[in-house]
Amino acid sequence: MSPRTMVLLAVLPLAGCQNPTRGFDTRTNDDVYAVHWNTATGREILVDEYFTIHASIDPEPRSVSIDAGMPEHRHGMLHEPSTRRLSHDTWLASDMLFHMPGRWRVQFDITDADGTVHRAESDIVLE
Amino acid sequence: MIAAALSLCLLSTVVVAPLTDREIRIIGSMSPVPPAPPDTSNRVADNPAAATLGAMVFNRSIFSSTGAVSCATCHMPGRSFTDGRAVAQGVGIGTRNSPPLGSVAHQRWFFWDGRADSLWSQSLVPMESSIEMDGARVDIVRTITEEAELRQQYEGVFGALPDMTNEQRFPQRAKPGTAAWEAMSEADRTTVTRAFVNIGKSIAAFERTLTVGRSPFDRFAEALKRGRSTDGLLSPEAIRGLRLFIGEAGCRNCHAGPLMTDRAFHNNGVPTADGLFPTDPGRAGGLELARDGEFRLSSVWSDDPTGDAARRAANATAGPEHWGAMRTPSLRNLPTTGPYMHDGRFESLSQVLGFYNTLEGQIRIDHHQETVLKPLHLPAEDLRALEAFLRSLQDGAPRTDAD
Repeated sequence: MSPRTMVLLAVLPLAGCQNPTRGFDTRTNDDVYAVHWNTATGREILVDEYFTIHASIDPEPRSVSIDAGMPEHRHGMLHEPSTRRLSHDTWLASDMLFHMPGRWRVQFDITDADGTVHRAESDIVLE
Repeated sequence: MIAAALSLCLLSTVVVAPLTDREIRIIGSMSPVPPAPPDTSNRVADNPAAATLGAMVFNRSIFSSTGAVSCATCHMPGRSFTDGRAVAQGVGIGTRNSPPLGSVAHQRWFFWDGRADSLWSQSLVPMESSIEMDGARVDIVRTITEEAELRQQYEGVFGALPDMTNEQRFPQRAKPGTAAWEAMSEADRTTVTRAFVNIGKSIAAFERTLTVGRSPFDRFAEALKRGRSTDGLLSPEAIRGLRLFIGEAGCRNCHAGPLMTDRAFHNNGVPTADGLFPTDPGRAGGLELARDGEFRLSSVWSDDPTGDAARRAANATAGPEHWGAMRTPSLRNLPTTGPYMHDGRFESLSQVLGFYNTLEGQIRIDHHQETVLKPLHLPAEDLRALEAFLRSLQDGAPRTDAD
């Protein structure tokens, strides 16, 4: 195996290859909140197709805002998604659209009872 | 000699190396062009009689102030619905290139800056623009009432037209922004605007039938998808260009999907004529116009003002990166849609590729600009290969579904 291939194999899981059956797990940067999220349909995210995110957050936050962007391109999505609470710890973000292939970063801005915002991120690479 | 033979052999191996599974998957995502998505904001979007009316209006110049300009002046069927000019020329001279209309119904935003969020609202803007057709909505609707063929077609789709013989109630040259328009009663303004909107929805119904046909690339992609032989469907040079397009050259970052566009806005820093900072605000201005637009998707003139498309358009994001950004054009029928770029800056495909290869003259507006755009530094044979692939996207000309 070439060194380049080994590097690729090492990097790919970190880059967020999709596993729509299991979903994605991440934590806020300060390790306070755990986020498990998936597409509402459980299907793979495809370029230029609308999808909805279903997120479970532990412990229960006061509010959550979900958005996404492309770090390398320095831009976000074409429009803001709508985030709403489904139950005490689950949230739904609709009108998500990744209009380009490449690396997208999904951001969860989680507000706690004191009003402090904690950020969790997940990276996904779309072919 | 042995070394030469070996290098030839290696070169041959590179050229004929089979496509990888990833490449085949990506090529499959680029073809065929699917049917146009439904447009719930236009209740006659797929009404053939409305499309017939739309075609009649599209091709007639009687709606312009000079009587010499129609939609087809800038969108010529024989030129893939472009005009071959760097910038559009109607009653006056514009500042942007006339975009092609093949499969235009797939777009989310219209005009280079996305100032319209529906195809039907887009079609109304040139009719009243002072540099395009310079018409006035009162005159446009009155013309429909006075031309027997147009009137019959309109009333067959939308019902009776208003009586507009009283020129005091319906003054000539009356359109928003004129004193004549302001002098009209609100009820009369609404009556005229309703008919004007119906005309726009008919033009959109016609434009929805302008679909790009199958190209050599589509035939290649279909054979690949079905596991058939691809021999002779694309030249080896075009296949090499295709692999560069979806790989090393990174073209697919923005030119993805069957229409080869992400239907979004980017600032690629294309040089200006004088080398100075560009004055066209692009998407930054277009989004403001879209949000304030009289005929925006969430307006009373839409047939679905609270639907998904209206909500998404209302939630469109704006940021500093949008200054000077233009909508990514489709690459379908590219060989017959030049000159290229939003201002027709480049006459040939080789000039376009040359720009992306060196980014010579690129204008960097600020740090918000696209950062993935790097000079490709590809050798000349790779640029020729890319051009060969781009030329394989030509179907001859957009056709109507009736063809």
